[in-house]
Amino acid sequence: MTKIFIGSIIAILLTAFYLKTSQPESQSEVPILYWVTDPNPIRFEQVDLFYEWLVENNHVNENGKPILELRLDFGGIDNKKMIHGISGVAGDIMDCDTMSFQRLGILADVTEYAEQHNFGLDQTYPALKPVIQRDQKQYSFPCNVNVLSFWSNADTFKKYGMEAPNKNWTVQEFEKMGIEFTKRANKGLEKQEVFFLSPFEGWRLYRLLISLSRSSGQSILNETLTASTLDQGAFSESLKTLYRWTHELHLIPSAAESSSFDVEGGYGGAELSLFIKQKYAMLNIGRWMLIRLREMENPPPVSVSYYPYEKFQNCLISSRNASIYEGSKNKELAALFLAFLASDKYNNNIITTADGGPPNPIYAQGKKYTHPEAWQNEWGAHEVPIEAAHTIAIAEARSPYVSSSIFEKAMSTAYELVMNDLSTPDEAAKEAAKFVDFEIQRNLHDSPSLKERFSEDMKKQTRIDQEKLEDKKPSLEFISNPFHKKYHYDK
Amino acid sequence: MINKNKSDTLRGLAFLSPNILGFLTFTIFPLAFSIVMAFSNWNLSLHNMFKEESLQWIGFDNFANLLNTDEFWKYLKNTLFFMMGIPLSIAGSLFAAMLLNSDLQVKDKKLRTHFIIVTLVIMGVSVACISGVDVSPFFYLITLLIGLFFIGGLFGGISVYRTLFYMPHFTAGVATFILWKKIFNPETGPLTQFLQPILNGIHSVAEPLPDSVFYFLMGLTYLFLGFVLYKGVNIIRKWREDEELGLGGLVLSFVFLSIPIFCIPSWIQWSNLGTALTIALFLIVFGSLLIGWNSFKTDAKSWDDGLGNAVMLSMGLMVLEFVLLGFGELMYNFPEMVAQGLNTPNWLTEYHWAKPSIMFMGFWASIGSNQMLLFLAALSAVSPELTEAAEIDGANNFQKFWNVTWPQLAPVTFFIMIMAVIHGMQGGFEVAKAMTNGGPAGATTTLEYYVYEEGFGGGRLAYASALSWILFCIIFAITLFQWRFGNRYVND
Repeated sequence: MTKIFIGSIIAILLTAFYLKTSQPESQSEVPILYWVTDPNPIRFEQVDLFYEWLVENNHVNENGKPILELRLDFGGIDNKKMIHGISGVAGDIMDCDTMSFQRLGILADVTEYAEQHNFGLDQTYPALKPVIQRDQKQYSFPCNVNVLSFWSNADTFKKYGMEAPNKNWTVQEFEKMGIEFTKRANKGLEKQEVFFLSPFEGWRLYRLLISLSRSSGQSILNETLTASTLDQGAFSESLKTLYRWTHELHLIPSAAESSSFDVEGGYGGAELSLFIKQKYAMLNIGRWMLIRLREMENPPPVSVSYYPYEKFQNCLISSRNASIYEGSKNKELAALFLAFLASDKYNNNIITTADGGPPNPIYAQGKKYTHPEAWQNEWGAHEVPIEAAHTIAIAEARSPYVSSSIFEKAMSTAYELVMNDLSTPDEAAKEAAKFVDFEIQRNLHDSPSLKERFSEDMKKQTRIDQEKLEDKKPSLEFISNPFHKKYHYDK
Repeated sequence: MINKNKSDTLRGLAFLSPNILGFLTFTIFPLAFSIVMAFSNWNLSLHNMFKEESLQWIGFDNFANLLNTDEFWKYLKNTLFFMMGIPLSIAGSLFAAMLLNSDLQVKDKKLRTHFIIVTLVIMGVSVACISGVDVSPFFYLITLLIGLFFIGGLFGGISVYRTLFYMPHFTAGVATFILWKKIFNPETGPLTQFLQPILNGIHSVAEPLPDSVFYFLMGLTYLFLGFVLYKGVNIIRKWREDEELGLGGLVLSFVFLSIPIFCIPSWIQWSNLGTALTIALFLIVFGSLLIGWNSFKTDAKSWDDGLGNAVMLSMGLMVLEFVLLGFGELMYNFPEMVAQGLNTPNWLTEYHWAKPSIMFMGFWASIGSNQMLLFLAALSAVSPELTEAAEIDGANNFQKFWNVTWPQLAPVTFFIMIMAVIHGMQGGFEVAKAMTNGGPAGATTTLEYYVYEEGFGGGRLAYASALSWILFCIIFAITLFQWRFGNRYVND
């Protein structure tokens, strides 16, 4: 028995040794880097392009081969990536929500690398500054850029004798057209089967609510990002608007109506299938939806409209960002990948594959982007989000005192309470504000350094509040919220 | 000799060491560590290997904060609501076990052929009827499968049924949740398609009736509710008179009996009638208490005498009270519902239906779970001599079950009850994550899901640990209570 036991121990040790020596890192001549990203098939092509770029830019070893090997890790949800990050085992390059990850301290400051390899803020849209920079330090570079908008299937509108909507519309114009469309599209049907717009959930709902609130002249956070302003009227109005669209005008399906469609997902989600089947005339989505649309034999003609607005037209600019893990042993090599994202090779790939908009705006100016030869059905659509990115787009405001997931939770709960007739919009908005402010206080309680920063910001906020009382414009140097900067100084 | 013993001991320990080390590393250490964590302010966004913020010891702050948040109480209520399905699930699994304990195989060849023909005819007719109301292919599939199971059982007998009934237990959880999401589809789901024609039938019957019929039914329901309360109080009083019930049982019984009455103001939507009903029911409970005060004052031997019986009775009556209140409310709203057309609810997306829908799914799962298997094993151990003796004494089937079988199942039922309560308090994460994401508006978020949200969603490991330990304390208290009084109930 003793021999068997000792034998087992030896066998385990030998297996461990074999596993250790057979690991990729032990067999490769060059350092292996991992890129944690989404499971999009285009990523393989992008890795190959990266190798080409490395060779072209002389980042090679003595054998003329690329100085690194990049492996894909389809890492899944942000929570998992965060846990890997704080545990010290994350990939070298991560596609992530930069500000959420930066709060954890797991992202490397890439400001110096950006200067060295030319992938600073000047290589992308200025509106993305709050997304990739905090306290004048850069933490990422965009892989693609998106302006969420409403994408229309022109064939669906044509089917019911209507024109696809223009790019600009107020809430009233949106509702007028929606009522007419749903009336025509559901004529003679026992139950409503066709909707003006796809349903909202998760981050899309969150962003639409932000945009609608902003269109009424308010953000969800105050000027210094120290408190929520969800209870100041605009958010409640946005909830009323969505309730009206869903339950009174039936322009968008309720949760039950959307779950009753027997359709499965795929890249782009179940909504895209229903958009193609002309059950939804419009989708609340970004340019990446063209990836799947282009798989069709005869894709329908599409056009793009901004979110409708009350009095201040705006839209949200966002990006899928690549960041370098603070715990990576190969930060300098990983920085090369970020430089690649700013290159013509990568940007042209984004243009061709429709994986969102190119991170570098200069590549979105040519005909190759605006009028792709093979896809005439898309002509006229591509310019709209880019134009918005240069004009009306504002990034999401991110507070250092509370994570955006808390806002998302508070706002979606308020939305569900209102949609289920469990609360009035005003009550739900108050509860949401209370919840967020409570979370801010919890974070301050846990962190003395955050508390210090908070009291500095509160001084600024007091000054701003005083200025507002005196009917003056708040001083620009005190404002951290990108919406307030744009609203007060750049509209 | 001593050396030999020592060497044997060392060898034994060496053999055991991998297991001991694994247990210490992966069970004992995390457990002890989580206690320590619960008294700190460990927040992953502030305290991790890349941050310099120092960890602080904050004593019982996490526990105090937790008990002061609305969320904790809301999710605790959700968890307890789901647990109200436990008695039903135990009854369901006992019923399934009793079915599976009888030999259902048809041995006669001719009879078997007839059975198959009849089954096929019934299935064919059902499908033909249903096809007239435009059902989904999923419904056909389910009908077909049920038919096939039935026929399989005819050939294979009890073994086939036992295997099929146990299937929910060894089917992967998430896969069954996705299947149930399909079943709950408000448009094409088989449940909706099965219920909608029935509701249409009820609608056509109820539509011509005057509203007063439903109000009369509502009145009857509340009268019956009053009667149930009156009887409940009387039984308790009788136990007290007979010195079978201590003070603890008496107080707990009145607490459980009164809970539904306290819920009336927030539940019943019309204020005047709701107030009147609340007052009337309180009068019944406390009127009976005052009228029979002398008999209540009778001293039992100790405060916990008959506690198990009293809790069982009053909890059962509490569930019945809730059912009757719900039925009364339904009757009150029925004329309006009929006017709008009776439709199946949006099972998972409607706030008030999401919880019962998930409970219903849990009921299905528990029927085919280890509970059923345990009951099956216990039933096979019931002494046939006792049953035969009861038969000779002229007992009918119900009497045989109540007086012979059920008492012998008491130890197993007690064990199942404890396990179900523990599982119920710790459960709900997988279902909520896969089916509803805890919504709508937190309706299906349980304490376990809340632990996950706080720990891995918000990064507040300390807070999540404190929450876990509070959960542990609740489970421990309930289990102790069950053990202390339920065990005596079993032995009695």
